[in-house]
Amino acid sequence: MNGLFTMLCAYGRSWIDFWNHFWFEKRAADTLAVMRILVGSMLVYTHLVWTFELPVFFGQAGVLSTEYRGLFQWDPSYRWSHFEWFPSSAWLWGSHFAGLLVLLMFMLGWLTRVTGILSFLLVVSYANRATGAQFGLDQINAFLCLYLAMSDCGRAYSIDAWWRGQRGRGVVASTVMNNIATRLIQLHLCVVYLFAGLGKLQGAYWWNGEAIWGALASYEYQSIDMTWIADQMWLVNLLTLTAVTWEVTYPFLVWPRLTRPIVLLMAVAVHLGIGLFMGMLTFGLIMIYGNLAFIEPRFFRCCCGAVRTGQPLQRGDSGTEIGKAC
Amino acid sequence: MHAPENHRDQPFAWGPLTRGIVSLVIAFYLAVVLLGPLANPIGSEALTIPLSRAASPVHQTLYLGHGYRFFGPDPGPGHLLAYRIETTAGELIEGQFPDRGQHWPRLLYHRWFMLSETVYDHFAFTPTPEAFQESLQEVQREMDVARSEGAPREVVEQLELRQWNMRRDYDLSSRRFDVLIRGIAGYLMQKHDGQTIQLFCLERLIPLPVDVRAGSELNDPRYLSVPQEIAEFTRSELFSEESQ
Repeated sequence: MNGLFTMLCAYGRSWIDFWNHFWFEKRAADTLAVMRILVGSMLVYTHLVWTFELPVFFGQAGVLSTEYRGLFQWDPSYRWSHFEWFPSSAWLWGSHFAGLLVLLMFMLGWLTRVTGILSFLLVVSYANRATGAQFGLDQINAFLCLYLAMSDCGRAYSIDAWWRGQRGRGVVASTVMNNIATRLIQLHLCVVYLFAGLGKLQGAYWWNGEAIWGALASYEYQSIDMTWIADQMWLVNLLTLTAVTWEVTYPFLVWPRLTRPIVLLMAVAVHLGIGLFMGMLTFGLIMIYGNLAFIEPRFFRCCCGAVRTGQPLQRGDSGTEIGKAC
Repeated sequence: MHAPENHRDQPFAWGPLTRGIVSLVIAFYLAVVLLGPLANPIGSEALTIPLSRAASPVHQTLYLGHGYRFFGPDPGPGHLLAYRIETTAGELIEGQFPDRGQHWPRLLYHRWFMLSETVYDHFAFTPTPEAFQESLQEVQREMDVARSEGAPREVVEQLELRQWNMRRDYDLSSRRFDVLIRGIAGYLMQKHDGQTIQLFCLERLIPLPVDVRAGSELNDPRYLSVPQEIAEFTRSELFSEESQ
């Protein structure tokens, strides 16, 4: 009995130890800083595009009534949007351009702590106001921005870091918050892929291997003509089954060193495919940017060092071929 | 899973109390994240849906709670929204969205595409008043049978609750469709100085590989359904204050 108790205690302690190391070790800012630049550029682009039809989607007399987004449940709605604070055209355009400036500052890492939080609030506010016209891109934008905002991603590759360097103030780039933010991005991606994959398993076309044909032959989505693939249905079947298998197994195979590079390369291939052939380059790219969370900071530091010195990246420089880096 | 680089041998920067509190927050947060896809678009009535409803303020505030069923369960047909407007000058204007020729850049095109898909979803999943009345009566008949057979009170109460939920859901979904379609119609009417507007849904089927091999184009008109009228408004119906 005593032995069992001791064994259970040791098992419990090993779990606590694992949990503590998983969440509460320090992590350098390089990966998150690169993600801030890439995700930030996507945020700027996503919101810049609204400029073309801002009054149409966000104006009082636009296609989306302000009442609409409150009609998704009977409980009180918390879907707020700053566009409704003042019903004037000046506020609409003024807040839009001010918002774009904030997003740009976040991307560049200027006053990152403040602009990160403001960027997240802006992303949510735009998405709420545009309820009915959003899609996966907005969902991924929002959670990546949330986690980047709570991290110390401004401590590297940023105006903030450059400015601190100019003033001779050292930068502590490794923090616990960087690690927590990275872990949250990784786990949230696992949730996204798992449920996207499980959802597909309910569909007959993902089982009979024809789903990729359905995606490529949808006229509304099509951006590059892929109809030649109708002559190669074996390839369609292979791509379909590979895609769904990859998605369902992602949460399990992305963690081991052995399988991680394969899973991440698959992610790049799948999302570039969605981006190029189905006209959703923005969605494809943001998913790829999210997957960077699985690459260790050393890899990016080493790449930046190689760019700075003009020397090619040597294998083992950082101990970080993508798989080994993690 | 591996620890972040080179810090395993260092003591933790945060003390046990801070780590304990933050661990609880993380565990709560992860549960909230998981509840989204567990309850949306489908969930269990007795567990994940009530829990998700309780987490709804957090979901909405942080823009979480999504189902993430991208292209699931199957890639389906595309949906377009077409309109026909008679202007005050007597001219007839026809158009549709999304429109590749008009909506650029591609992300903007995709916004219009998502809007037409949303309209179709609301239209397709909101029963007609007649169909709704019929399903209400069906539950009423079940209730009458239960009463006449002396079924336990809980059974009748369950049926009453179901009827109440059906009324509530129907009211919400029909209001949602009405508000969305009026917003779109009002915008188009103002843009084109319209007198009357008709809105139609069109469905574009995905061609079979064998048809494409035989030379069919993806935008062949035969894959496009007959336009189904979903709403019609006059100017005074949309802008009541103008008519007063």
